Amino acid sequence: MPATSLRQGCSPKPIFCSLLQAGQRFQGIQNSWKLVKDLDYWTVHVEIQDYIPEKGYICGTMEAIDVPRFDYPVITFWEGQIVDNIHYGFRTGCWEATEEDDLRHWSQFSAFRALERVFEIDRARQVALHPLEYVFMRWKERYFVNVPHNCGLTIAGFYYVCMNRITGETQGYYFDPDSLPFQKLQLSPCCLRGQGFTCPWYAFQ
Amino acid sequence: MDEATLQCSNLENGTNIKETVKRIKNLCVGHPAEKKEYIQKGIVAALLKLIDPTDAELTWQICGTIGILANKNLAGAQQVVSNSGLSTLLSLLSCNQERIVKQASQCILVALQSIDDPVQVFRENMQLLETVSGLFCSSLASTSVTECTSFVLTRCLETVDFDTVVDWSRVSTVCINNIKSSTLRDSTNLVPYLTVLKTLTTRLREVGIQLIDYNIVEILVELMKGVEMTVKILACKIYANLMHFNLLQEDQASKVTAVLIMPLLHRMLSKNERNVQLEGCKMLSEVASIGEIYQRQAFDCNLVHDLIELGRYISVADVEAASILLQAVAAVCSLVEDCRRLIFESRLFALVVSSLDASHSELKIAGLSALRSLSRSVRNLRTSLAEASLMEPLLKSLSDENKQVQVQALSTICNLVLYFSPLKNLFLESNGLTTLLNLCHSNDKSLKYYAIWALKNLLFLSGSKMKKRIIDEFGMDYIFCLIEKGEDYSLQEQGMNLLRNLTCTFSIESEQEIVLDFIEEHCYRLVLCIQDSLQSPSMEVVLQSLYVVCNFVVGNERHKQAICNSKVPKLLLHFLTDSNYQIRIAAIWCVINLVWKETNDICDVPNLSDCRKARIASLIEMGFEETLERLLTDSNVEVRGRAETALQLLRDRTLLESAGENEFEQISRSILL
Repeated sequence: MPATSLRQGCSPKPIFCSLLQAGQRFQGIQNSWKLVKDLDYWTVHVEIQDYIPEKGYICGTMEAIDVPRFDYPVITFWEGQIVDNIHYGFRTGCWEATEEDDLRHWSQFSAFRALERVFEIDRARQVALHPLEYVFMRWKERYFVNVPHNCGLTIAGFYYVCMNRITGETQGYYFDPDSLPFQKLQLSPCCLRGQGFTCPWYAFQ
Repeated sequence: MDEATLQCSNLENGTNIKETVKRIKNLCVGHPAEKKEYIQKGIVAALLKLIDPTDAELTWQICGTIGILANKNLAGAQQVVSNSGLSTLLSLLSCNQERIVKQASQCILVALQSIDDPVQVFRENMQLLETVSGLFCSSLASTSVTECTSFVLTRCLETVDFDTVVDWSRVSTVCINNIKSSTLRDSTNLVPYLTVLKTLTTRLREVGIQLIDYNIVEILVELMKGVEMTVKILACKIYANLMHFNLLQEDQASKVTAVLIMPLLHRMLSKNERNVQLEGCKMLSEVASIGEIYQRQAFDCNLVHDLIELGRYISVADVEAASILLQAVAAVCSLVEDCRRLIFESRLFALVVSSLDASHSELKIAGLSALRSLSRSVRNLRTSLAEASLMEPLLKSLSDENKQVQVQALSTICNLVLYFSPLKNLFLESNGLTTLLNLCHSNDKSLKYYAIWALKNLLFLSGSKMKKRIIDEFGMDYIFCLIEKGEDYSLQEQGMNLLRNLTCTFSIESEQEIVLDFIEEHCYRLVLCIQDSLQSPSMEVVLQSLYVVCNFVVGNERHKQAICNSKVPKLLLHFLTDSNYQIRIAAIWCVINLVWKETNDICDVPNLSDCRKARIASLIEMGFEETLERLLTDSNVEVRGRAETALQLLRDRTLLESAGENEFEQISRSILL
């Protein structure tokens, strides 16, 4: 990460990333550690359905396959905040996440290390994030698409997410005070695993 | 002989004319039946003939009586404005007797207010309008003359019919001078001038510029702070018109709107007077439609709650009120999700839905417009708008005889046919696609444009089957014609977007999309089309074309070769240094896809590796390597990163060395161990 990217005084701008455009898909796994040090993991497919850098907004679906106790994929719809220091900062300020929770989770990402010192001063609010190689986001699942809400799964929490803008490699940590901590999400962009980058497009009227 | 006949006879005979006129007036006041009788006997024309400027008392009485006969009576009013009656009355406005001027002004005003189309009178006789304009601009014009003439000018100004007849700059200068010279304490005297300026600034940008040049904006702001409601509203409207023409600095305008206009609108919407509330809705529509910031302000100032509250008392039976309310909903919900959320949570959404079945076009258009604004959100499409009951009236509206209804319905359908909308399937099952394809061939430019937009949205992330169906029913020739014609960049852009979605295929794990026959069949023409579109002066067309290249070459050696054998690589080289970072990124993606290291090819082309090497050599020779190297220090981080990726591929350092085991399996193994 270039040192100049943390230079204060450069005004924050919306964060554009071609790998976050609507229609882009990611695949990976989510794992969680059970109390008896046994690992649960399931395959996850993520599809971006809208991305508005000018509003710091992103949304899509998450499909979890081979979730324990489920014979079929479980799909949720999520909405995300892009940490751009225009609309959203590193401080969550909602969903029961305290500033300590924020620091504890963002610190899990190596990409955040350079920002830790600035975070402690003013939550890195003055830093222009658009020149960085990483995009930080929060993804909040809003509802189950294909299973009832009392299916036994929870979507009360949200993910702290960090994506490399060039490789598309994405990591996330699920936060929910009532769930096991640091459930990890790891995703890769499907297009770069295939035969090249494809990009459809739509626009609202 | 009945009373009316007797009085009319007295007039004709010249018997006690003044008394007769007075008696007729007294008999008609508050007695509609008598009034009707006199009008039927042609009393108005008779009275007009008796006007004698030398007899002030008689003239004054006649004007008063004619005013009563014309007031809220169509027949009476029509008799005034025809038969040169208006001309006679207008001539009285320049006499030196104030009470005659006042009476005549009143008479003209009530007559024009009582007929259906007062503007028609002036269309038929332009000379009259010139007279009115002259009277308005006269420095000697009294308050009553100004009020009367401003009414005429305002009504006539709403259309372009009189733009060459009246010297509008003279009229606006008079208004400006009067506003500047008056004190704000007498602001009610400014109403006629503000009314004219309000209408002038709705259509004519140059009048807005005039107001800026003469520093009227500060005066408008002061007027908005005053206590006189009519004046405040007019000042707000003029200010909003200036905002519409982008004549004001946004930061200043947004402050004024937040502090003065929105609170005024809140007062108007909360007032228990229908006309004021509806006027507030109209003003809110005008301000909110200027931009997102004002929609956000409307939300912050609780105006959406005001609309919801108003909606509790309005049903589709009240066509005018429902239409105005729904247009306000359409405006505030256009870009702000919070506003949409409030509407969905309220009963106002039910009014939107029920308006779709209305028989009045005006109401249907307003409802469709509101629905369109509400549908500009993935979340809403997936949830609140998943109602099946929406589709039937929407499809019906596509065939409505009113063009505006069709256009609004079609533009709403653009959003509802998106991949994640549950209504997409219902649309297809209801034969909506056939209607859509027919509309793509419409002679009406708007319908054609929105139909193509809807089609491109429908093709977003569509599978091969849908793509094939559309190509079979639509024909590739039509798409190429759209793009090749090149006359209309907006249509070209939609056409290229359509191609972009048609050519987009995804490989997910073992799933491999079948390359459609249509691409092979039209490969040569497609490449030519792309080549031409990349030379378009429109940035939007170029961007779409670059992504068509990206999608087109993926997984297909023949397509890569076809592109490399055209002028496209030279154009790509040029776009790598475009000033727009999105263009640079798209161009780099094209390069990446062209030199991507394939492990297999959809068409089973032999010697893939050799083909790739030859292509790389050719691109390097053209200068791609040097240009990409320069991009390593680009100001944009994604440009830098993608350029590095492209260089690695050009220099044949592969990203994934191992074939076989995929990356996820590697990660999974490392976690399990």
